[in-house]
Amino acid sequence: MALQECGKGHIYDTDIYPQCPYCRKVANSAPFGGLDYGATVAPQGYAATPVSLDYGATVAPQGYTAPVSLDYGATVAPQGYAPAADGAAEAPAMNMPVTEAPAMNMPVTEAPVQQTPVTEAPTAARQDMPADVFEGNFVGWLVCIRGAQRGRDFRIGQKRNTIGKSERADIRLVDEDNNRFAIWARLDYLEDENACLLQPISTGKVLLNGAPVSEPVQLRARDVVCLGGCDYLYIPLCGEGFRWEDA
Amino acid sequence: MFGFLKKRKHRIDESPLFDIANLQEIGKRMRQEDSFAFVNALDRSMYDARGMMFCVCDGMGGMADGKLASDTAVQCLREDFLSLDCEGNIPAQLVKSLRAASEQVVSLLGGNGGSTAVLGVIFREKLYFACVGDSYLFLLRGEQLIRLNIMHNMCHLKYLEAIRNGCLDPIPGRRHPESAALTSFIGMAGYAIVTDTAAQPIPLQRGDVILACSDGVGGVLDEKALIKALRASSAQQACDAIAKGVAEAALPYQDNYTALVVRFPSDSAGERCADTP
Repeated sequence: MALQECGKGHIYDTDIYPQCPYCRKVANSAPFGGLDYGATVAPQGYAATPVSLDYGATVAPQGYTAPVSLDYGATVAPQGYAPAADGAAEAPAMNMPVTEAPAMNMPVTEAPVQQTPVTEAPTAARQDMPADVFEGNFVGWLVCIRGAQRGRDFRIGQKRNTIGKSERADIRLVDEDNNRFAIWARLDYLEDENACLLQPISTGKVLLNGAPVSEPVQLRARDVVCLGGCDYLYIPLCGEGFRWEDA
Repeated sequence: MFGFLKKRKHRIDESPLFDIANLQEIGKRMRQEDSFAFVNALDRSMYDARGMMFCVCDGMGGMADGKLASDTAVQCLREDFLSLDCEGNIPAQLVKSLRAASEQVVSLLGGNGGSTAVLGVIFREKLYFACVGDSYLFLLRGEQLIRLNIMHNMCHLKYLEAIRNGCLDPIPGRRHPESAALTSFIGMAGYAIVTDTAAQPIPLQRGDVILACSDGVGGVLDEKALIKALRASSAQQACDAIAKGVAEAALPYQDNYTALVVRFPSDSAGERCADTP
């Protein structure tokens, strides 16, 4: 065994691996935007505000919007957590006393406004999105019946489908609700039930037939799902009488 | 005139003092959002001079770019370790490192991303640590597995509140709807993060085994399984046993899992003697 430390601090056996297997695995994993069960999140109500640190730390550029990967059951901060820009909020009392960063004689510096490309297209620009190129079996449609994309249909794959405004979403929709998050929900095809399960990811933004959805719910034909401030009619292809495996 | 120069036995330590190994797998997730690093783990002379460091950071996948958060945290902690004043107050410096890493993640993700952190430094065979979040740091000593850090989550917070109110029942905390929510993490905006550390280091004994891991391991394998794995005859075998245990648990939504094992061997096989004039 010939152990070596790679440039990132990973230990690997050069007798087995020509290069660090951990760096290679990370490079080969899915790009940001995937959804997983049980991922770590902040609690309901957590609303981070950009913090200008008073000792010259770098702030996020103006216009920067962090893309959010949300996973079902993810770890969150507690409900009601809302970091204040002036740091006035109390952290829960635990072992260590809360201490403020030391005041230093450094000017407040703001990162210059950068021409950062907007990763999420604004609402108006979504009208001319290219047609979906869908590969593989699909199990139904979401048809926009109210909103900027009225009349447009979106195929639901025979898999887990992420829904949101992120360009990495499986079903990419328009955001007329000014969502903070890029992924709002997931639509999972359940093979055993031959049906689709709607799972909300971001809180407060997913409605089913007018009612907020907080837990996974199986969709029925003609259910109206409100996502991103627009209404979509759920039309199943797979269900009673049809299953791809039987076709 | 010169007298007789008696030959003295001079110990030459070439091998690392500790037996170390690491393990990381993606589980059933689409992305790997754990990050980890060792520093000076294989360099005996650097360890003797400046100690060694290990860290595990578990990116919060439900927030913005967990991998960026955890990777940023690890790189900050590595850089800070290189300038650690080993003769100074190490626990205070480790806490300061965590806070600096948190500010860096805030600056990158605006408070929308976060990570846990388990940071350990071993210097002169004493273990120092600082942690935030819900990752795990264990010490196996003999037959006993000791959890060294507390969890910064709602379950633990509610349990502390219950204890202060005179109730020792942990069930309400576990049943809280947000029991797994983190109450402190790298990348929290607007707060000085709450960390967990020990003011005094833990002197390590031969035979001790340290395990730093994300909840993909600590939340899956029970105490018995971890003890059995860590009692393997090498750190790599311990990691292999952990990987096997996680695979056998076969959770449908297995989280990313990362484990760092540091063994302080019972024998002194890493030392040899040579005659020097």
